[in-house]
Amino acid sequence: MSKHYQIVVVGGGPAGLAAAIKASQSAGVSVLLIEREARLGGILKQCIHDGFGVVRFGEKLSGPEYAERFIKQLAQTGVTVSLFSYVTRMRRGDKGFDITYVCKDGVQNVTCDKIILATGCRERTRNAIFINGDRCAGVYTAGAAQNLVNILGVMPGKRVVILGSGDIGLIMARRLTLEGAKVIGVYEAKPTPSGLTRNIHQCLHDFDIPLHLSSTVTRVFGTNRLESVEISKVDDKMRPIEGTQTTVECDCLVLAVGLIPENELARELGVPLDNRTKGAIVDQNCQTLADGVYACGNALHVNDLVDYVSESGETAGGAAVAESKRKLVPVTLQGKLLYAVPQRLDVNSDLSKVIMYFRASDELSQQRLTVSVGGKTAFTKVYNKLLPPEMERITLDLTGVDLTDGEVTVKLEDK
Amino acid sequence: MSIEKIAAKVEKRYGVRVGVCQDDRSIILSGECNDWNTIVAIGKMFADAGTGKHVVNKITLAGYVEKAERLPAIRDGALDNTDWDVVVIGGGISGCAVARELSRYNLRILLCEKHSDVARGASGANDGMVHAGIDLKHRCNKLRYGVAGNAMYGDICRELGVEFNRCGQYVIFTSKLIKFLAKSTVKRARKHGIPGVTIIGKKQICEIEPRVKDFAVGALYVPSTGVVSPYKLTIAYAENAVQNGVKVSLDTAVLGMKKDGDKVSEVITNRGTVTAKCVVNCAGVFADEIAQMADDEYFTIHPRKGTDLLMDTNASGLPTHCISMGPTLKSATHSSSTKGGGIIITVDDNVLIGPDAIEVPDREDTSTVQSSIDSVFQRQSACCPSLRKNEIIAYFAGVRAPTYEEDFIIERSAKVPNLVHVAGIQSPGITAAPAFAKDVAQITAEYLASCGADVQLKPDFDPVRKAPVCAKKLSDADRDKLIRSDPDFGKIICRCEQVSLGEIKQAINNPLGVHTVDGVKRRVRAGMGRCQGGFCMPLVTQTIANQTGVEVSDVTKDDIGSNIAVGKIKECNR
Repeated sequence: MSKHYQIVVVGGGPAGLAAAIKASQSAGVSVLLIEREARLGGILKQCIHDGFGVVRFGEKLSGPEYAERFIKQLAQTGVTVSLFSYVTRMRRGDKGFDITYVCKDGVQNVTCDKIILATGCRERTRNAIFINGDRCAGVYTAGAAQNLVNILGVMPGKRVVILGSGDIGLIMARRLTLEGAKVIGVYEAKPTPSGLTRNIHQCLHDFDIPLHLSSTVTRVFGTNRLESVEISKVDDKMRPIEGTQTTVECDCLVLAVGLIPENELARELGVPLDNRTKGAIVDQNCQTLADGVYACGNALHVNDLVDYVSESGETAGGAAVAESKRKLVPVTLQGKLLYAVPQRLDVNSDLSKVIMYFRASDELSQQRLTVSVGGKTAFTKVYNKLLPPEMERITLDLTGVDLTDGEVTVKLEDK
Repeated sequence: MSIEKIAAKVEKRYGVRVGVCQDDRSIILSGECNDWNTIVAIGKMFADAGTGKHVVNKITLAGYVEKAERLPAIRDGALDNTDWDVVVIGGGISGCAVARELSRYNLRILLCEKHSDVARGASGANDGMVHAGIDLKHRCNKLRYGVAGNAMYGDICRELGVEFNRCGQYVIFTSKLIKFLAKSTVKRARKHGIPGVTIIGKKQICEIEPRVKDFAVGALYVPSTGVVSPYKLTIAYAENAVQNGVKVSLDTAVLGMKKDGDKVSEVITNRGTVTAKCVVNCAGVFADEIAQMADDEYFTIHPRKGTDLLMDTNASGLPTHCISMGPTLKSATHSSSTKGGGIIITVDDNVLIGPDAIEVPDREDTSTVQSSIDSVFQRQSACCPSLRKNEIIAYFAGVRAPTYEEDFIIERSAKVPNLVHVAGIQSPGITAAPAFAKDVAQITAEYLASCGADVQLKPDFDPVRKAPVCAKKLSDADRDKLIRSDPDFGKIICRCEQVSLGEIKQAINNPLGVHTVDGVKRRVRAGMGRCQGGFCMPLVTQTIANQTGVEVSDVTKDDIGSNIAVGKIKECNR
């Protein structure tokens, strides 16, 4: 007989930890947390810089410190944790869901009522952005480079070019500089930086590392180790401009060219995904369109701050313990919005504190965000400045608003 | 046509004055030209003239400085003063298969490979199709060995523990006329001994492969086509050779030869000088240079690059069968040096598309270029329009090693009696290797016997190489049992391809002694999935360091010098 849990959380990073803790706080709920790696904490384990937890704890923690707070809390709960465990199969069964995973003890089968997917995200690769050339050593994603430096204690290179001004790219520029490498420059194909403004200042300006916008790496050269990269200017559609190529000598190229929510298991469960977020389509309780399957954290959409990752984990964990018969209404986007989460609202559950995250599609100033239901404004807020790298969060109180047949619209427009 | 007439034609067409001379085996061309494709075209004109001779094309590209050959960054005396019956040069599919077939005999065999692993040239960078041979010309080595090799695949892959899938292939017709003309292909296939080739109708092909329903009028079904992992097969051949006593020396490049009369007596490498009773040249793109070292140059290899693309397994709109576009009326009347590639479902269930064929002067130019990726995708997606370019997860280029005659050279040299050439091996080289390796072993053994050596088949030859464990392909019950016997098989390191620590350790402890990150990747697929090693590469690197007792910063991606890291932190001086 397979062991039965009310809730199985997949992923022991910040989202999964928060979800498991929250779920276990309801009396009598049995929770299994399945973590792929040997230790809990997810990517936080290798993020030894500070700045985590400012929103949540009002202090700047390092990644491991932030994770440790949750790991300690988890230890006080009755959550069963299975480490170094990898889910190989997930499907609906007679008792909710059948889950198979492998770990050092063998192939394990469990059943559960609800699944919370907290599987995080992965990095886009060199191939995904078509950087051509040789297949030499020295080309790494920022996460891999971070692992080499912070976990394995080795240097991925001494003269480093960083492509992508996303936060991990900026953090790695600083990190490698502190370890004695020469960071030649950070190159960004977009005309604006991709990372948080505070990171541009703290990681680049403070260390005199140049940021080259509208430029990208188009080719790499090297027999065994990387020897040089070709940099090209790009046009407004981010296509390389012929004739603008320059060669930069370096022995390492670090790629921080975007993150993609990891949704292998969601796919297996037939969970519909949002093309904009690349994560699941969810309601305000983080429940996907597949009943009983929840998604949170970076698996749902790529967050800018870990504090929000934990928050969505708690939303999922708190909601998954309740029974509900859902009635979903869609949320429609208008104007220059990159995305908004949730993409649905469940009319039958609590609407007094709907947390919505969104990002603008461009760098915009003097914008008004309006949430309206059936043409009536339910929420409005003016933003002086919106930057795509900075995620925005709003809390909506929609109690008393008739959602039954009214269309919910989120609109971003000039003030 | 006489060669003088061809020379005149060349001058008229290209404005290039070619110096021409010939001996009993070859036409030798000299001169200079400022376009590489023209140089290749000229070579082909002479090869196609019907003289029956090989072409040695010494026309140089004006202003081109040949890139220095990549040589291993090591020099020692590891092999110095060793004696061998046979030295096999090159650890591609040819060299490894030949070494394994030779290991049936009581011979001392050395295989030299200049890279840190086998299958590093074209054998590691092709689509792995086991061709049926439907498009091959009558009376050529490619057809002879291709058809024979294809038939051997089931058995050889079983013996060597390598996955093989005889999946068949569908050549899609978009024109009724072409479909009608394909009857001659069926007839020719029958004549060439290619089994089961038939023409199927529109309804049938659209049921089998619905992705083609908008344009297919029928298809040629070729049931004997199969797929194999070309590098895994090469590795398996090499490992079985080692099992049977062959010495595989990696990071070992042949730098020269010494002769005694007309025979090769010594082979000079960066690891020392060795004696050889017989030498087998399986040097791929460098086969002509090896021949030259023995003063036996009678053919020229002109490197031809091909690029393949790999699709994400979760991509939408993937086909479920190996398909390729049949000829169009236009292409049918033009001869071309590739079969045009196609879409392949690999043994690991990846969809692979390609390749193209680009003549390049640099024999080791495996760099990828966007123009090839774009053209391969555009061309192949014609027979599966639902493919999406943004779902390509990887691409790679390999360099084929054709001669100007475009056929395999598999023979003992007429001029250097103890030198056997296995040259000009390109598609269908993987298919043909099991067959020609047997012949090459026999030619070699017979030659040694004719010199008075006591050459015997070894009674203890073991043809079986155990397949490495692939835990994810086991049933739950078997996987459970495996993990209970060794918990490392339950610890997943590569999340995309579900590769466990146990499998990675097994790959590191391989019989060839390859301890590289890419070596692990080729053996067990760690790092081949959609994250392309972003997550597992540091763990694999660390595992190699632990298993082999070296520092993490000493672990290499591939060849010597391709270190993953440049040193420890806190020890980095700018």
